[in-house]
Amino acid sequence: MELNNTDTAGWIKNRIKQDEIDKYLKNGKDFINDDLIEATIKSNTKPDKKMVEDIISKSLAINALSLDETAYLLNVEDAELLSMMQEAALIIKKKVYDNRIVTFAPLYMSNICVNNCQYCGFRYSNQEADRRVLTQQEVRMETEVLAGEIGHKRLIVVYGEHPNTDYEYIADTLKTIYSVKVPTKNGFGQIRRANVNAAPMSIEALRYLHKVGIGTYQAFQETYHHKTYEAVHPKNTIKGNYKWRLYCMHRAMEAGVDDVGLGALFGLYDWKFEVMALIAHAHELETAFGIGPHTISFPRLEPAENTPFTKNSKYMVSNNDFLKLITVIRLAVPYTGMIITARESREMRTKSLKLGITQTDASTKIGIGAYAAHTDDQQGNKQQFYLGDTRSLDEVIREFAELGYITSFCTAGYRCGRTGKCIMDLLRTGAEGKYCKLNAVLTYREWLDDFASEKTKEAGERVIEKEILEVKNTMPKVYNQFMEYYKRIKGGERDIYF
Amino acid sequence: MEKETSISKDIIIVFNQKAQEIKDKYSLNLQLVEIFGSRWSYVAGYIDKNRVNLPPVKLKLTDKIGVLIYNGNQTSLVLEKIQSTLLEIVR
Repeated sequence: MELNNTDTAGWIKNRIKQDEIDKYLKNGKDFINDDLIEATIKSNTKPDKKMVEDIISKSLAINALSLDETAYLLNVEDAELLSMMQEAALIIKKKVYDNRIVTFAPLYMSNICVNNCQYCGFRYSNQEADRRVLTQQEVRMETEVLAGEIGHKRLIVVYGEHPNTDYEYIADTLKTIYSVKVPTKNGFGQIRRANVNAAPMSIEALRYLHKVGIGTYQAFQETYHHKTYEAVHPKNTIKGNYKWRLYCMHRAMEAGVDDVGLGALFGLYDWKFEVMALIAHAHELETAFGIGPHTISFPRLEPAENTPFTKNSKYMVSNNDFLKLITVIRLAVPYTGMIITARESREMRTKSLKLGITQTDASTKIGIGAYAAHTDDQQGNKQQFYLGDTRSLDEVIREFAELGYITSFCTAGYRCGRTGKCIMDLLRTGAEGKYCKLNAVLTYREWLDDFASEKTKEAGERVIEKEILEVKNTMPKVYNQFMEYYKRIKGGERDIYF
Repeated sequence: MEKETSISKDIIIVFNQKAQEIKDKYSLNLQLVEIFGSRWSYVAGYIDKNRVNLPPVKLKLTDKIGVLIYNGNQTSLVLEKIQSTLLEIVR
Protein backbone atom coordinates (compact mmCIF):
# COMPACT_ATOMS: atom_id res chain seq x y z
CA MET A 1 0.00 0.00 0.00
CA GLU A 2 1.33 3.46 -0.92
CA LEU A 3 1.86 5.90 1.95
CA ASN A 4 4.14 8.38 0.26
CA ASN A 5 1.66 10.77 -1.32
CA THR A 6 1.77 14.25 0.19
CA ASP A 7 -1.75 14.23 1.62
CA THR A 8 -1.33 10.97 3.49
CA ALA A 9 2.12 11.85 4.76
CA GLY A 10 0.86 15.23 6.00
CA TRP A 11 -2.12 13.61 7.71
CA ILE A 12 0.15 11.13 9.49
CA LYS A 13 2.48 13.92 10.59
CA ASN A 14 -0.34 15.93 12.17
CA ARG A 15 -2.24 13.05 13.69
CA ILE A 16 -0.69 13.01 17.14
CA LYS A 17 -1.36 16.00 19.38
CA GLN A 18 1.53 15.95 21.83
CA ASP A 19 -0.22 18.31 24.24
CA GLU A 20 -3.06 15.75 24.49
CA ILE A 21 -0.55 13.27 25.85
CA ASP A 22 1.61 15.52 28.01
CA LYS A 23 -1.31 16.91 30.01
CA TYR A 24 -2.01 13.48 31.51
CA LEU A 25 1.54 12.43 32.38
CA LYS A 26 2.80 12.52 35.93
CA ASN A 27 6.42 13.67 36.10
CA GLY A 28 6.67 12.86 32.42
CA LYS A 29 5.67 9.23 32.98
CA ASP A 30 2.58 7.26 32.04
CA PHE A 31 0.62 5.16 34.52
CA ILE A 32 1.87 1.74 33.40
CA ASN A 33 4.93 0.95 35.45
CA ASP A 34 6.31 -2.25 33.92
CA ASP A 35 8.77 -2.93 36.73
CA LEU A 36 6.15 -2.44 39.41
CA ILE A 37 3.70 -4.77 37.65
CA GLU A 38 6.35 -7.47 37.22
CA ALA A 39 7.38 -7.09 40.86
CA THR A 40 3.76 -7.24 42.06
CA ILE A 41 3.21 -10.49 40.16
CA LYS A 42 6.38 -11.96 41.64
CA SER A 43 5.72 -10.85 45.20
CA ASN A 44 2.19 -12.27 45.46
CA THR A 45 2.91 -15.92 44.92
CA LYS A 46 2.02 -18.95 47.07
CA PRO A 47 -1.59 -18.00 47.67
CA ASP A 48 -3.26 -19.63 50.67
CA LYS A 49 -6.92 -20.56 50.96
CA LYS A 50 -7.89 -17.96 53.56
CA MET A 51 -6.37 -15.14 51.56
CA VAL A 52 -8.10 -16.26 48.35
CA GLU A 53 -11.41 -16.51 50.22
CA ASP A 54 -11.00 -12.98 51.56
CA ILE A 55 -10.28 -11.62 48.10
CA ILE A 56 -13.26 -13.45 46.64
CA SER A 57 -15.49 -11.98 49.37
CA LYS A 58 -14.41 -8.54 48.31
CA SER A 59 -15.31 -9.32 44.69
CA LEU A 60 -18.66 -10.77 45.72
CA ALA A 61 -19.44 -7.48 47.43
CA ILE A 62 -18.89 -5.92 43.97
CA ASN A 63 -15.69 -4.11 44.87
CA ALA A 64 -12.77 -3.76 42.50
CA LEU A 65 -9.59 -5.58 43.52
CA SER A 66 -6.22 -3.96 44.04
CA LEU A 67 -3.27 -4.91 41.86
CA ASP A 68 -1.79 -6.97 44.70
CA GLU A 69 -5.03 -8.91 45.07
CA THR A 70 -5.28 -9.40 41.32
CA ALA A 71 -1.71 -10.72 41.21
CA TYR A 72 -2.50 -13.06 44.05
CA LEU A 73 -5.38 -14.61 42.10
CA LEU A 74 -3.34 -14.80 38.91
CA ASN A 75 -0.84 -16.97 40.77
CA VAL A 76 -3.41 -19.47 42.06
CA GLU A 77 -2.63 -22.96 40.74
CA ASP A 78 -4.52 -25.12 43.21
CA ALA A 79 -7.50 -26.79 41.52
CA GLU A 80 -9.79 -26.35 44.51
CA LEU A 81 -9.04 -22.63 44.80
CA LEU A 82 -9.44 -22.16 41.05
CA SER A 83 -12.80 -23.84 41.17
CA MET A 84 -13.82 -21.53 44.05
CA MET A 85 -12.79 -18.52 41.96
CA GLN A 86 -14.77 -19.76 38.97
CA GLU A 87 -17.90 -20.26 41.03
CA ALA A 88 -17.57 -16.75 42.43
CA ALA A 89 -17.10 -15.31 38.94
CA LEU A 90 -20.44 -16.73 37.82
CA ILE A 91 -22.21 -15.52 40.97
CA ILE A 92 -20.88 -12.01 40.37
CA LYS A 93 -21.95 -12.07 36.76
CA LYS A 94 -25.48 -13.07 37.74
CA LYS A 95 -25.60 -10.48 40.50
CA VAL A 96 -24.51 -7.62 38.26
CA TYR A 97 -25.91 -8.63 34.87
CA ASP A 98 -28.31 -11.46 35.60
CA ASN A 99 -28.27 -14.50 33.31
CA ARG A 100 -28.35 -12.53 30.09
CA ILE A 101 -25.82 -12.44 27.30
CA VAL A 102 -25.77 -9.42 25.02
CA THR A 103 -25.07 -10.14 21.37
CA PHE A 104 -23.65 -7.92 18.69
CA ALA A 105 -21.95 -8.17 15.32
CA PRO A 106 -18.73 -6.62 14.11
CA LEU A 107 -18.98 -4.54 10.95
CA TYR A 108 -15.66 -3.84 9.27
CA MET A 109 -15.70 -0.65 7.22
CA SER A 110 -12.25 -0.72 5.70
CA ASN A 111 -8.93 -2.47 5.69
CA ILE A 112 -6.71 0.38 4.63
CA CYS A 113 -4.30 1.36 7.35
CA VAL A 114 -1.22 3.54 7.70
CA ASN A 115 0.20 1.36 10.47
CA ASN A 116 2.45 -1.63 10.12
CA CYS A 117 1.79 -3.79 13.18
CA GLN A 118 3.60 -7.10 12.89
CA TYR A 119 0.63 -9.20 13.96
CA CYS A 120 -2.06 -7.60 11.79
CA GLY A 121 -3.31 -8.67 8.36
CA PHE A 122 -4.27 -5.05 7.62
CA ARG A 123 -0.69 -3.70 8.05
CA TYR A 124 0.30 -1.51 5.13
CA SER A 125 3.23 -3.70 4.10
CA ASN A 126 0.98 -6.74 3.58
CA GLN A 127 0.87 -6.95 -0.20
CA GLU A 128 -1.57 -9.86 -0.13
CA ALA A 129 -4.41 -7.81 1.34
CA ASP A 130 -7.25 -6.85 -0.99
CA ARG A 131 -7.86 -3.23 0.15
CA ARG A 132 -11.27 -1.66 0.31
CA VAL A 133 -13.34 1.09 1.98
CA LEU A 134 -17.11 0.73 2.06
CA THR A 135 -19.14 3.48 0.40
CA GLN A 136 -22.18 4.82 2.25
CA GLN A 137 -24.38 2.76 -0.06
CA GLU A 138 -22.41 -0.35 0.85
CA VAL A 139 -22.66 0.53 4.54
CA ARG A 140 -26.42 0.69 4.08
CA MET A 141 -26.46 -2.71 2.35
CA GLU A 142 -24.39 -4.30 5.12
CA THR A 143 -26.68 -2.82 7.77
CA GLU A 144 -29.79 -4.03 5.98
CA VAL A 145 -28.52 -7.59 6.19
CA LEU A 146 -27.45 -7.27 9.83
CA ALA A 147 -30.63 -5.58 11.05
CA GLY A 148 -33.14 -6.96 8.56
CA GLU A 149 -32.04 -10.54 7.90
CA ILE A 150 -30.04 -11.59 10.96
CA GLY A 151 -31.74 -9.38 13.52
CA HIS A 152 -28.83 -7.66 15.22
CA LYS A 153 -29.55 -4.46 17.14
CA ARG A 154 -26.01 -3.66 18.24
CA LEU A 155 -22.80 -3.37 16.25
CA ILE A 156 -19.15 -2.82 16.84
CA VAL A 157 -18.06 -0.87 13.78
CA VAL A 158 -14.38 -1.28 12.96
CA TYR A 159 -12.11 1.09 11.03
CA GLY A 160 -8.47 1.02 9.96
CA GLU A 161 -6.41 4.14 10.61
CA HIS A 162 -6.21 6.12 7.41
CA PRO A 163 -7.11 9.64 6.19
CA ASN A 164 -9.87 8.14 4.02
CA THR A 165 -11.53 6.69 7.11
CA ASP A 166 -10.95 9.58 9.49
CA TYR A 167 -13.53 10.79 12.01
CA GLU A 168 -15.72 12.48 9.42
CA TYR A 169 -16.05 9.21 7.50
CA ILE A 170 -16.76 7.42 10.78
CA ALA A 171 -19.49 9.92 11.64
CA ASP A 172 -21.07 9.55 8.19
CA THR A 173 -21.12 5.77 8.45
CA LEU A 174 -22.74 5.95 11.88
CA LYS A 175 -25.44 8.26 10.54
CA THR A 176 -26.04 5.81 7.69
CA ILE A 177 -26.24 2.84 10.06
CA TYR A 178 -28.72 4.58 12.36
CA SER A 179 -30.88 5.62 9.39
CA VAL A 180 -31.55 2.06 8.22
CA LYS A 181 -34.94 0.63 9.14
CA VAL A 182 -35.93 -2.68 7.56
CA PRO A 183 -39.39 -4.30 7.61
CA THR A 184 -39.36 -7.76 9.21
CA LYS A 185 -41.84 -10.59 9.67
CA ASN A 186 -43.73 -8.88 12.48
CA GLY A 187 -42.17 -5.46 12.95
CA PHE A 188 -39.00 -3.77 11.81
CA GLY A 189 -35.28 -4.18 12.32
CA GLN A 190 -32.76 -1.47 13.02
CA ILE A 191 -29.40 -0.95 14.66
CA ARG A 192 -29.97 0.81 17.96
CA ARG A 193 -26.45 1.03 19.29
CA ALA A 194 -23.34 1.39 17.14
CA ASN A 195 -20.14 1.02 19.13
CA VAL A 196 -16.93 2.09 17.47
CA ASN A 197 -13.53 0.42 17.35
CA ALA A 198 -11.17 2.95 15.84
CA ALA A 199 -7.66 4.24 16.28
CA PRO A 200 -6.93 6.84 18.96
CA MET A 201 -8.10 10.32 18.06
CA SER A 202 -7.85 13.87 19.31
CA ILE A 203 -10.35 15.24 21.80
CA GLU A 204 -11.86 17.35 19.02
CA ALA A 205 -12.42 14.32 16.77
CA LEU A 206 -13.92 12.32 19.63
CA ARG A 207 -16.23 15.19 20.47
CA TYR A 208 -17.38 15.20 16.84
CA LEU A 209 -18.15 11.48 17.03
CA HIS A 210 -19.90 11.85 20.35
CA LYS A 211 -22.34 14.26 18.73
CA VAL A 212 -23.58 11.63 16.29
CA GLY A 213 -24.38 9.30 19.18
CA ILE A 214 -21.75 6.59 19.32
CA GLY A 215 -22.24 3.83 21.86
CA THR A 216 -19.00 2.60 23.39
CA TYR A 217 -15.66 3.80 22.07
CA GLN A 218 -13.23 0.91 21.92
CA ALA A 219 -9.48 1.03 21.27
CA PHE A 220 -7.20 -1.70 22.56
CA GLN A 221 -3.68 -1.06 23.77
CA GLU A 222 -2.75 -4.45 22.23
CA THR A 223 0.16 -4.84 24.66
CA TYR A 224 0.79 -2.68 27.70
CA HIS A 225 4.41 -3.83 27.95
CA HIS A 226 6.48 -0.90 26.71
CA LYS A 227 9.33 -2.83 25.11
CA THR A 228 7.06 -5.34 23.42
CA TYR A 229 4.85 -2.52 22.20
CA GLU A 230 7.86 -0.86 20.66
CA ALA A 231 8.97 -4.11 19.04
CA VAL A 232 5.67 -4.92 17.30
CA HIS A 233 4.63 -1.36 16.35
CA PRO A 234 7.29 0.30 14.17
CA LYS A 235 8.44 3.63 15.54
CA ASN A 236 7.82 5.61 12.36
CA THR A 237 4.08 4.85 12.45
CA ILE A 238 1.28 6.53 14.39
CA LYS A 239 0.65 3.36 16.31
CA GLY A 240 4.31 3.34 17.29
CA ASN A 241 3.47 6.03 19.84
CA TYR A 242 2.59 4.08 23.02
CA LYS A 243 1.40 7.05 25.01
CA TRP A 244 -0.87 8.44 22.29
CA ARG A 245 -2.69 5.13 22.36
CA LEU A 246 -2.60 4.69 26.13
CA TYR A 247 -4.31 8.02 26.78
CA CYS A 248 -6.98 7.75 24.09
CA MET A 249 -9.58 6.82 26.74
CA HIS A 250 -8.64 9.87 28.78
CA ARG A 251 -9.29 11.98 25.72
CA ALA A 252 -12.56 10.13 25.08
CA MET A 253 -13.72 10.83 28.62
CA GLU A 254 -12.78 14.46 28.28
CA ALA A 255 -14.72 14.63 25.03
CA GLY A 256 -17.78 13.37 26.89
CA VAL A 257 -17.66 9.77 25.62
CA ASP A 258 -18.15 8.08 28.96
CA ASP A 259 -18.59 4.48 27.79
CA VAL A 260 -15.17 3.22 26.83
CA GLY A 261 -13.89 -0.27 26.06
CA LEU A 262 -10.41 -1.45 27.00
CA GLY A 263 -8.60 -4.47 25.65
CA ALA A 264 -5.31 -6.23 25.11
CA LEU A 265 -4.30 -8.65 22.41
CA PHE A 266 -3.22 -11.70 24.36
CA GLY A 267 -0.25 -13.46 22.82
CA LEU A 268 2.03 -10.48 22.34
CA TYR A 269 3.47 -10.57 25.85
CA ASP A 270 3.04 -12.43 29.17
CA TRP A 271 -0.68 -12.80 29.86
CA LYS A 272 -0.40 -12.11 33.59
CA PHE A 273 1.28 -8.80 32.88
CA GLU A 274 -1.47 -7.81 30.42
CA VAL A 275 -4.22 -8.64 32.94
CA MET A 276 -2.49 -6.54 35.59
CA ALA A 277 -2.09 -3.64 33.17
CA LEU A 278 -5.74 -3.80 32.10
CA ILE A 279 -6.76 -3.58 35.73
CA ALA A 280 -4.31 -0.72 36.27
CA HIS A 281 -5.89 1.07 33.30
CA ALA A 282 -9.36 0.56 34.81
CA HIS A 283 -8.13 1.97 38.14
CA GLU A 284 -6.56 4.95 36.39
CA LEU A 285 -9.84 5.86 34.67
CA GLU A 286 -11.75 5.52 37.92
CA THR A 287 -9.27 7.76 39.70
CA ALA A 288 -9.14 10.37 36.97
CA PHE A 289 -12.80 10.49 35.97
CA GLY A 290 -14.77 8.47 38.52
CA ILE A 291 -15.87 6.12 35.74
CA GLY A 292 -14.36 2.73 34.98
CA PRO A 293 -14.35 1.02 31.59
CA HIS A 294 -17.71 -0.05 30.22
CA THR A 295 -16.19 -3.23 28.79
CA ILE A 296 -12.94 -5.17 28.70
CA SER A 297 -11.96 -7.40 25.78
CA PHE A 298 -9.24 -10.03 25.71
CA PRO A 299 -8.78 -11.28 22.16
CA ARG A 300 -6.12 -13.91 21.65
CA LEU A 301 -3.73 -13.65 18.76
CA GLU A 302 -5.16 -15.56 15.79
CA PRO A 303 -3.60 -16.57 12.48
CA ALA A 304 -3.82 -13.89 9.78
CA GLU A 305 -3.09 -14.12 6.05
CA ASN A 306 0.57 -13.58 5.16
CA THR A 307 1.35 -12.68 8.79
CA PRO A 308 3.89 -15.18 10.16
CA PHE A 309 4.15 -13.37 13.51
CA THR A 310 0.69 -14.68 14.42
CA LYS A 311 1.98 -18.25 14.36
CA ASN A 312 5.35 -17.74 16.00
CA SER A 313 4.80 -15.70 19.15
CA LYS A 314 6.28 -17.28 22.27
CA TYR A 315 3.55 -15.73 24.42
CA MET A 316 0.57 -17.62 22.98
CA VAL A 317 -2.00 -18.17 25.75
CA SER A 318 -3.13 -21.75 26.43
CA ASN A 319 -6.82 -22.55 26.83
CA ASN A 320 -6.43 -23.12 30.55
CA ASP A 321 -4.63 -19.84 31.10
CA PHE A 322 -7.22 -18.08 28.95
CA LEU A 323 -10.07 -19.34 31.12
CA LYS A 324 -8.12 -18.33 34.20
CA LEU A 325 -7.52 -14.81 32.96
CA ILE A 326 -11.24 -14.40 32.25
CA THR A 327 -12.01 -15.55 35.78
CA VAL A 328 -9.52 -13.15 37.33
CA ILE A 329 -10.73 -10.17 35.29
CA ARG A 330 -14.32 -10.95 36.33
CA LEU A 331 -13.27 -10.94 39.98
CA ALA A 332 -11.02 -7.89 39.70
CA VAL A 333 -13.58 -5.58 38.05
CA PRO A 334 -16.94 -7.11 38.97
CA TYR A 335 -19.08 -4.37 37.39
CA THR A 336 -17.39 -4.21 34.00
CA GLY A 337 -18.82 -5.84 30.89
CA MET A 338 -16.65 -8.61 29.44
CA ILE A 339 -16.56 -9.48 25.77
CA ILE A 340 -15.54 -12.71 24.09
CA THR A 341 -15.68 -12.84 20.31
CA ALA A 342 -15.95 -15.36 17.52
CA ARG A 343 -12.18 -15.42 17.31
CA GLU A 344 -12.57 -18.17 19.87
CA SER A 345 -13.91 -21.65 19.20
CA ARG A 346 -17.42 -22.68 20.14
CA GLU A 347 -16.05 -24.77 22.99
CA MET A 348 -14.06 -21.92 24.51
CA ARG A 349 -16.94 -19.50 24.15
CA THR A 350 -19.33 -21.86 25.88
CA LYS A 351 -16.89 -22.48 28.71
CA SER A 352 -16.20 -18.78 29.18
CA LEU A 353 -19.90 -17.99 29.61
CA LYS A 354 -19.74 -19.70 32.97
CA LEU A 355 -16.92 -17.42 34.06
CA GLY A 356 -18.70 -14.14 33.73
CA ILE A 357 -18.77 -13.15 30.07
CA THR A 358 -21.49 -10.59 29.35
CA GLN A 359 -21.27 -10.01 25.60
CA THR A 360 -20.47 -11.98 22.49
CA ASP A 361 -20.92 -11.82 18.73
CA ALA A 362 -22.62 -14.22 16.32
CA SER A 363 -23.24 -14.59 12.57
CA THR A 364 -19.88 -12.92 12.47
CA LYS A 365 -18.20 -11.89 9.23
CA ILE A 366 -15.12 -9.73 9.27
CA GLY A 367 -14.43 -9.45 5.56
CA ILE A 368 -15.06 -5.99 4.13
CA GLY A 369 -18.53 -6.10 2.57
CA ALA A 370 -18.99 -9.74 3.54
CA TYR A 371 -22.51 -9.52 4.97
CA ALA A 372 -24.16 -8.17 1.82
CA ALA A 373 -22.07 -10.55 -0.31
CA HIS A 374 -23.52 -13.44 1.72
CA THR A 375 -20.18 -15.21 1.59
CA ASP A 376 -19.79 -18.11 3.98
CA ASP A 377 -16.13 -18.79 3.34
CA GLN A 378 -13.52 -16.84 5.26
CA GLN A 379 -11.47 -14.71 2.86
CA GLY A 380 -8.00 -14.32 4.30
CA ASN A 381 -7.00 -11.44 2.04
CA LYS A 382 -10.03 -9.39 3.08
CA GLN A 383 -10.08 -9.98 6.81
CA GLN A 384 -7.81 -9.09 9.72
CA PHE A 385 -7.56 -12.67 11.05
CA TYR A 386 -9.37 -16.01 10.85
CA LEU A 387 -12.45 -16.70 13.00
CA GLY A 388 -12.83 -19.67 15.32
CA ASP A 389 -16.64 -19.80 15.42
CA THR A 390 -18.78 -18.90 12.42
CA ARG A 391 -22.12 -20.12 13.72
CA SER A 392 -25.25 -18.14 12.91
CA LEU A 393 -26.98 -15.96 15.48
CA ASP A 394 -29.90 -18.39 15.40
CA GLU A 395 -27.65 -21.32 16.31
CA VAL A 396 -25.88 -19.38 19.06
CA ILE A 397 -29.13 -18.17 20.59
CA ARG A 398 -30.51 -21.70 20.55
CA GLU A 399 -27.46 -22.99 22.36
CA PHE A 400 -27.68 -20.21 24.95
CA ALA A 401 -31.36 -21.01 25.50
CA GLU A 402 -30.57 -24.67 26.02
CA LEU A 403 -27.96 -23.64 28.61
CA GLY A 404 -30.51 -21.43 30.38
CA TYR A 405 -29.20 -18.04 29.22
CA ILE A 406 -31.38 -15.36 27.73
CA THR A 407 -29.94 -13.47 24.79
CA SER A 408 -30.40 -9.76 25.12
CA PHE A 409 -30.63 -7.19 22.35
CA CYS A 410 -31.11 -4.45 24.87
CA THR A 411 -29.74 -1.04 23.94
CA ALA A 412 -31.90 0.91 26.35
CA GLY A 413 -29.41 2.20 28.90
CA TYR A 414 -27.61 4.74 26.79
CA ARG A 415 -30.85 6.15 25.48
CA CYS A 416 -32.26 6.95 28.90
CA GLY A 417 -29.42 8.34 30.94
CA ARG A 418 -27.90 5.07 32.15
CA THR A 419 -24.41 5.99 31.01
CA GLY A 420 -21.08 6.85 32.63
CA LYS A 421 -21.28 7.36 36.38
CA CYS A 422 -24.98 6.51 36.49
CA ILE A 423 -24.59 3.07 34.95
CA MET A 424 -21.48 2.37 37.03
CA ASP A 425 -23.47 3.03 40.22
CA LEU A 426 -26.35 0.86 39.03
CA LEU A 427 -24.01 -1.98 38.10
CA ARG A 428 -22.29 -1.90 41.47
CA THR A 429 -25.57 -2.28 43.35
CA GLY A 430 -27.08 -4.86 41.01
CA ALA A 431 -29.96 -2.57 39.96
CA GLU A 432 -28.77 -2.58 36.36
CA GLY A 433 -29.07 -6.36 36.30
CA LYS A 434 -32.80 -5.96 36.90
CA TYR A 435 -33.16 -3.51 34.00
CA CYS A 436 -31.12 -6.01 31.98
CA LYS A 437 -33.59 -8.76 32.70
CA LEU A 438 -36.65 -6.71 31.76
CA ASN A 439 -35.14 -5.42 28.57
CA ALA A 440 -33.64 -8.78 27.70
CA VAL A 441 -37.08 -10.38 27.76
CA LEU A 442 -38.63 -7.60 25.69
CA THR A 443 -35.92 -7.63 23.03
CA TYR A 444 -35.77 -11.44 23.01
CA ARG A 445 -39.49 -11.47 22.27
CA GLU A 446 -38.89 -9.14 19.32
CA TRP A 447 -36.11 -11.32 17.94
CA LEU A 448 -37.97 -14.61 18.38
CA ASP A 449 -41.00 -13.21 16.55
CA ASP A 450 -39.01 -11.62 13.75
CA PHE A 451 -36.04 -13.87 13.08
CA ALA A 452 -35.97 -17.19 14.93
CA SER A 453 -36.15 -20.59 13.27
CA GLU A 454 -38.89 -22.86 14.61
CA LYS A 455 -36.37 -24.90 16.60
CA THR A 456 -34.83 -21.84 18.23
CA LYS A 457 -38.22 -20.31 18.91
CA GLU A 458 -39.22 -23.43 20.75
CA ALA A 459 -36.15 -23.28 23.00
CA GLY A 460 -36.58 -19.52 23.42
CA GLU A 461 -40.20 -19.78 24.54
CA ARG A 462 -39.14 -21.96 27.46
CA VAL A 463 -36.58 -19.34 28.52
CA ILE A 464 -39.09 -16.50 28.23
CA GLU A 465 -41.68 -18.32 30.29
CA LYS A 466 -39.19 -18.81 33.10
CA GLU A 467 -37.96 -15.22 32.92
CA ILE A 468 -41.46 -13.74 33.04
CA LEU A 469 -42.20 -15.75 36.14
CA GLU A 470 -39.02 -14.46 37.73
CA VAL A 471 -39.96 -10.85 36.92
CA LYS A 472 -43.36 -11.44 38.50
CA ASN A 473 -41.80 -12.81 41.66
CA THR A 474 -38.85 -10.47 42.04
CA MET A 475 -40.12 -7.17 40.61
CA PRO A 476 -43.83 -6.98 41.44
CA LYS A 477 -43.90 -3.16 41.27
CA VAL A 478 -42.97 -3.05 37.60
CA TYR A 479 -44.57 -6.33 36.55
CA ASN A 480 -47.82 -4.86 35.21
CA GLN A 481 -46.04 -2.23 33.17
CA PHE A 482 -43.61 -4.88 31.94
CA MET A 483 -46.42 -7.17 30.79
CA GLU A 484 -48.15 -4.31 29.04
CA TYR A 485 -44.95 -3.69 27.07
CA TYR A 486 -44.55 -7.39 26.41
CA LYS A 487 -48.03 -7.66 24.93
CA ARG A 488 -47.50 -4.60 22.79
CA ILE A 489 -44.33 -6.16 21.39
CA LYS A 490 -46.16 -9.38 20.67
CA GLY A 491 -48.65 -7.23 18.78
CA GLY A 492 -45.90 -5.88 16.51
CA GLU A 493 -44.70 -2.74 18.31
CA ARG A 494 -40.94 -2.47 18.55
CA ASP A 495 -38.27 -0.80 20.66
CA ILE A 496 -40.16 -0.35 23.92
CA TYR A 497 -37.90 -0.47 26.93
CA PHE A 498 -37.24 0.22 30.62
CA MET B 1 -9.87 15.79 35.30
CA GLU B 2 -13.47 16.10 34.33
CA LYS B 3 -15.68 14.74 31.65
CA GLU B 4 -16.48 17.49 29.20
CA THR B 5 -20.07 18.56 28.87
CA SER B 6 -21.63 21.50 27.10
CA ILE B 7 -23.90 21.94 30.11
CA SER B 8 -22.29 24.51 32.37
CA LYS B 9 -21.69 24.04 36.08
CA ASP B 10 -24.06 26.94 36.75
CA ILE B 11 -26.87 25.13 34.96
CA ILE B 12 -26.15 21.97 36.95
CA ILE B 13 -26.26 23.87 40.25
CA VAL B 14 -29.57 25.54 39.41
CA PHE B 15 -30.93 22.26 38.08
CA ASN B 16 -30.15 20.52 41.36
CA GLN B 17 -31.97 23.25 43.27
CA LYS B 18 -35.03 23.11 41.00
CA ALA B 19 -35.00 19.31 41.02
CA GLN B 20 -35.19 19.35 44.81
CA GLU B 21 -38.10 21.82 44.72
CA ILE B 22 -39.94 19.63 42.22
CA LYS B 23 -39.27 16.55 44.30
CA ASP B 24 -40.66 18.26 47.40
CA LYS B 25 -43.73 19.49 45.57
CA TYR B 26 -44.62 16.60 43.25
CA SER B 27 -42.60 13.63 44.59
CA LEU B 28 -40.88 13.28 41.24
CA ASN B 29 -37.21 12.53 40.69
CA LEU B 30 -35.32 14.31 37.94
CA GLN B 31 -32.18 13.50 36.05
CA LEU B 32 -30.35 15.95 33.80
CA VAL B 33 -28.96 14.53 30.55
CA GLU B 34 -27.06 15.75 27.53
CA ILE B 35 -28.46 14.63 24.18
CA PHE B 36 -26.30 13.23 21.39
CA GLY B 37 -28.53 11.78 18.69
CA SER B 38 -30.31 8.87 20.31
CA ARG B 39 -27.88 8.86 23.24
CA TRP B 40 -29.11 10.54 26.43
CA SER B 41 -26.01 10.86 28.57
CA TYR B 42 -26.23 11.22 32.32
CA VAL B 43 -25.01 14.58 33.66
CA ALA B 44 -26.54 15.11 37.10
CA GLY B 45 -29.43 14.34 39.39
CA TYR B 46 -31.35 11.31 40.50
CA ILE B 47 -29.87 7.83 40.54
CA ASP B 48 -31.76 5.14 42.42
CA LYS B 49 -29.14 2.51 43.05
CA ASN B 50 -31.38 0.08 44.81
CA ARG B 51 -34.44 -0.55 42.73
CA VAL B 52 -35.86 -0.64 39.26
CA ASN B 53 -37.96 2.30 38.18
CA LEU B 54 -40.77 2.44 35.73
CA PRO B 55 -39.56 3.98 32.48
CA PRO B 56 -38.99 7.73 32.85
CA VAL B 57 -40.78 10.45 30.95
CA LYS B 58 -38.31 12.04 28.53
CA LEU B 59 -38.48 15.81 28.33
CA LYS B 60 -36.39 17.59 25.73
CA LEU B 61 -35.56 21.13 26.87
CA THR B 62 -33.29 22.04 23.97
CA ASP B 63 -31.64 20.10 21.15
CA LYS B 64 -28.81 19.31 23.54
CA ILE B 65 -30.34 19.17 27.00
CA GLY B 66 -33.00 16.84 28.32
CA VAL B 67 -34.56 15.76 31.57
CA LEU B 68 -35.75 12.33 32.61
CA ILE B 69 -38.62 12.31 35.08
CA TYR B 70 -39.02 9.29 37.32
CA ASN B 71 -41.83 8.04 39.51
CA GLY B 72 -44.68 8.44 37.06
CA ASN B 73 -48.27 9.53 37.70
CA GLN B 74 -47.60 13.08 36.69
CA THR B 75 -50.38 14.80 34.80
CA SER B 76 -49.72 16.71 31.63
CA LEU B 77 -50.36 19.90 33.58
CA VAL B 78 -47.60 19.02 36.06
CA LEU B 79 -45.29 18.17 33.19
CA GLU B 80 -45.96 21.53 31.57
CA LYS B 81 -45.15 23.29 34.84
CA ILE B 82 -41.94 21.34 35.24
CA GLN B 83 -40.97 22.04 31.68
CA SER B 84 -41.50 25.77 32.01
CA THR B 85 -39.56 25.81 35.30
CA LEU B 86 -36.64 23.97 33.76
CA LEU B 87 -36.68 25.93 30.53
CA GLU B 88 -35.87 29.02 32.60
CA ILE B 89 -32.59 27.37 33.55
CA VAL B 90 -31.38 26.76 30.03
CA ARG B 91 -32.45 30.07 28.55
